[in-house]
Amino acid sequence: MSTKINDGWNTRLGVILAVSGSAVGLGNFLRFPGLVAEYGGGAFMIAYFISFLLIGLPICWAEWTIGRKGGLLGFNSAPGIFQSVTNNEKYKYLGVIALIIPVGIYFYYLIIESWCLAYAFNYFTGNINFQSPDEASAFFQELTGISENGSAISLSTNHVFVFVLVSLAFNFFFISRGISRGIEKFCSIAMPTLLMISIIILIRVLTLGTPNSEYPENNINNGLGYMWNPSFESLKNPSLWLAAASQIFFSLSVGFGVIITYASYLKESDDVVLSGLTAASTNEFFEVSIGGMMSIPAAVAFFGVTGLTQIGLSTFNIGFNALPLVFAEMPLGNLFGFLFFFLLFLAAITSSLSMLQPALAFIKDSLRLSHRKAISILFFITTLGAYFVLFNSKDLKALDTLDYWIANLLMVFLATAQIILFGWKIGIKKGLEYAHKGSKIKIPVFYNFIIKYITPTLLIIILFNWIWGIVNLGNPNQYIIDLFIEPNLTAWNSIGLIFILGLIITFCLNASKRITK
Amino acid sequence: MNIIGAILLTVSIGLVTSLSIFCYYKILTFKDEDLDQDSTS
Repeated sequence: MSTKINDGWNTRLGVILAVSGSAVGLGNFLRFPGLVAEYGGGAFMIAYFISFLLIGLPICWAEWTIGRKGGLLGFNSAPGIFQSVTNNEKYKYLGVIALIIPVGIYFYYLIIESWCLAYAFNYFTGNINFQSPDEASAFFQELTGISENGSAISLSTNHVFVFVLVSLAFNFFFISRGISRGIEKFCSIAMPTLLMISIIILIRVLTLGTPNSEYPENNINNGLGYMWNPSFESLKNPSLWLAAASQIFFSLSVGFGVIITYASYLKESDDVVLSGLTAASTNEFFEVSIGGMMSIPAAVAFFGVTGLTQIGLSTFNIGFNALPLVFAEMPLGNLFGFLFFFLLFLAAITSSLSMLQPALAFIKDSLRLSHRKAISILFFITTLGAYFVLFNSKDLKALDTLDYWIANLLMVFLATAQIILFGWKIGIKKGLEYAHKGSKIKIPVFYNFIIKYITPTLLIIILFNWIWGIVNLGNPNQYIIDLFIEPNLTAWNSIGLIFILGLIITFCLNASKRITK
Repeated sequence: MNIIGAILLTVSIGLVTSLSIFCYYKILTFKDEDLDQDSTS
């Protein structure tokens, strides 16, 4: 018996909030402030905004347009969309990458999402009250099972396993309800809630003043100064430009395979230019206006610049080590700790939902299965993948390896391919003609040149930079060491998992008469 | 925070906030009839 599900967006705002929800995640609140502090403070923003205009927006518009066009031609998954918009069967294989990315990222993103839920729960029940960095670090290690494979799998609320089950149930409850009744409805509630919680925490952070009068230099003003005082000299550093471009790229969720799937459910008369700009600007608002003033200034106000530097500026260090110590020092710290981690959980779940939809659409497109059967297959595959990451928790090796190879290399590759497809294969004139159908605003004329020449060139530079990081065997990075110099079984298994996923997708694609014909 | 840092912070937040407000204003005041008139003209 098939379950009838209404696949399509109910409102214009609904699709925008869903795409924004996909983009707003942990990177906005934790990764972005770390990069600004590391790369020249306010000067970083110059490179950041230039990257937004030259890389972020063009790919956004290209993905929205390609997705809607593919949807109008009868496809909701990447292989069918790429094949139909180019009228060339070979391009369907590009869609395999567009499916590996969201599913592969979901494998480990579900686990990180569950960490956030675990912290929120433990704050809510009063189980967290760290007095030292060692206590914070010990809790994180026990929760994640970082010391030994399989050690996170237990029903204790000090381990992540039980929270993975809850997150899994959340994701599949909403995804099984379809686009409008599931994803759209959830994001329509989650995004305004996210905004409200962010503003409450932001107000608390900005009114911290000088928390400890014995250390008057540790105050919120110096925290903001640490993040935003510019060092214009650092603009000469190519790493700053690459970091800014990468942050824009990852933060907007472009090259992710999600926007094309979401846009494929739009009608011909639906706008894509203004919708794309709105979703991107929503993400930027959360990242700059809220993420830019929250975590690092608060940490500096309590521990000073030296203390924060000792803890570290990486995403996980800021989120799971530094901030819990901040909340421990703060009046009503448990409440704000709960709110902050619940905020991260909401941001994460709007993103993980978006990672499931492309594969679900593919299973339905290619195998012509009912919604319920497609959900069952998706559940089976993604749960196995997530269990692999959960079990191989030692040093977070599986999570880290999947993140490096999928979220970095494959995403840049897919975005580069898509912008070349839009500007050259479809053609910039025809591409913009598609984009402007139903559009309320027009893409400025100078973007013809940017989309055709500038964006692909910049993306190729980023791609080559990544490839150089891989082939530069004179100075190999940890990921190359794990594979070839000191082979690590978990790292190899993670790569194997990506290949198996690719093979399953390719097999289904070749077996699918609908997409092949 | 020094004065240049404060200016960069204010300008950055001003840019993204005003862009968001502009977009949501356009979205929320966007009527399908506007589109029909555009296509007719």
